[in-house]
Amino acid sequence: MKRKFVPWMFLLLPLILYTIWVIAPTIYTFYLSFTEWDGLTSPQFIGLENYKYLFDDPTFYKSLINNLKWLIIFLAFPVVVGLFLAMLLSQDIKWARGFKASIYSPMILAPVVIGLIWSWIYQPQGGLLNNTLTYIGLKSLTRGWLSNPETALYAVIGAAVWRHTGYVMLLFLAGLTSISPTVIEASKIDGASAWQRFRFIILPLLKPTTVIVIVITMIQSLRAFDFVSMMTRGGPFNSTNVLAFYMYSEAFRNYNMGYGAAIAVILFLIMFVFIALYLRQIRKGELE
Amino acid sequence: MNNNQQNSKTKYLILILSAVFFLIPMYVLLVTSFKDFDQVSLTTMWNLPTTFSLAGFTTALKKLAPNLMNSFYLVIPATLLSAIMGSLNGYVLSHWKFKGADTLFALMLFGMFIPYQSILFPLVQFLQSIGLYGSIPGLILVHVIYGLPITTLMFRNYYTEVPTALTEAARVDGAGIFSIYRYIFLPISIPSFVVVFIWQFTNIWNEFLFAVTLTSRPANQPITVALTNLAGSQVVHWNIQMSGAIITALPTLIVYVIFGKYFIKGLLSGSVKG
Repeated sequence: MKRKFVPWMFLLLPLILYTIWVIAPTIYTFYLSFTEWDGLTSPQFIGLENYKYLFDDPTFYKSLINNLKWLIIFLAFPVVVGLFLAMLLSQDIKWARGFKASIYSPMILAPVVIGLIWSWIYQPQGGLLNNTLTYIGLKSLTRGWLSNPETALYAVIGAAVWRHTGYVMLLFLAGLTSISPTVIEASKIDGASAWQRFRFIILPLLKPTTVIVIVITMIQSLRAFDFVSMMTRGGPFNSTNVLAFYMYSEAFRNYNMGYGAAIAVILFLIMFVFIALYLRQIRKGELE
Repeated sequence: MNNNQQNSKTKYLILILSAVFFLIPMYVLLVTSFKDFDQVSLTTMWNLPTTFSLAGFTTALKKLAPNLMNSFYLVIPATLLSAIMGSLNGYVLSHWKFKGADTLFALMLFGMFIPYQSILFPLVQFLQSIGLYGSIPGLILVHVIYGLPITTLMFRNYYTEVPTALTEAARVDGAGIFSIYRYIFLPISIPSFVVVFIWQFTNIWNEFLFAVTLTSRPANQPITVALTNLAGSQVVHWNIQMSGAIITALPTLIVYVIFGKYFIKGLLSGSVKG
């Protein structure tokens, strides 16, 4: 009898804190999405009005599409490049630690710092990018990367990709080290080429890691806030607006708390799909 | 053999180029911050400063000093507390089977991925109601709690390596839940504490959203927020801003340089599956 209680008591404090500070606010936000509230007076219950407005809101769709673009690019570049670099570094390489440390290093910088650096790189007059393009004779390609609605989003995503790749690389490296070398050796003896080894042995064995990487990458891309906030504040003309930032600006700049909450709920529901996938993968991994 | 050598050279080339690519912005950061304002111009981007100037630094430091201290006041307690709690949680969740343990764990993980925007207003209200809104202690509290999922996860992953036979034997010998922790798990936890410390230190230091919404007056703000304010000013003195960025990045960089080896080793051994 006593044994059943004791673990719960151990966890009681963090559990209580967690319920108050994480679970309850989530539920409260759901409630708020059905109200209209300016943060000062009391919330007015308005049912599904916020959601009705949402479905007709062009800015919402713009932000959603931007999130989608972010997601796709995040899946394409950091994942592919990260895997490639991990494959290289899992072999016998001199200075491997140095390479790993350098490639991972962007992750230790605050996103706001990275946003600042890249804003500077993207400066139309005198920024590193335009300067380099001019220097190698491609002056025609120079432009205001962050001020041009066509390129702004990709410029911001670029900075985020630059940061995220090292992290993906490390995750894949961890997954690769768990693949037993005897399997690889056996396949070499059997005469498999490098590509065949990769495609038919390594890739399938990497599946659990790949799932984790994809889920984390997707969740990270949906959370993107710091970069947008630092580099463009959602502009120009909402071309870099994403759900996480739109929600923030509606709630804390325009004082439309109820509407901001509705956006938050949508964002949360989208994330929930990936969170569920992640949990499922962890459970599967544990059962093995 | 020639083919292999060729292969090898290409590999190293790719790796070197990649490393450079990821390090260039840092080079730029360092180089710019040591320049005088008039040197930070269109044509001299790449160049090392002709005169080594600390002007950018001193100005940035003057403006950011209080915020730098705020960040320290925030990060050190928050890291310590969330690590200790994570260790305890991870211990219980990995070695004590009880009803609801798995649901509990799932619930915790879920908290790790909640978009912070989704819970921002209730958080603001709760903090206001207990009088902690706009202050560093309030931020500490928030970061400790929101750090629980990831620290619990990291410790749990680490502790599952410990054979259950060990805890069973200790239980048979009459040891209670806390003494097993104290005498078996705690002593071997150093590597995971290192990883968790570094992870939490870095993430809490770098965090921006909570920092910007949960503190009000500039005097109370952590350095990440102060940096954005610095950058938002009218006349863009790039050398000051870059110096500010370095000051912001320096603590995490130092931690990484000193402990990075253990950190990456810990990450690779699976402390973080996420």
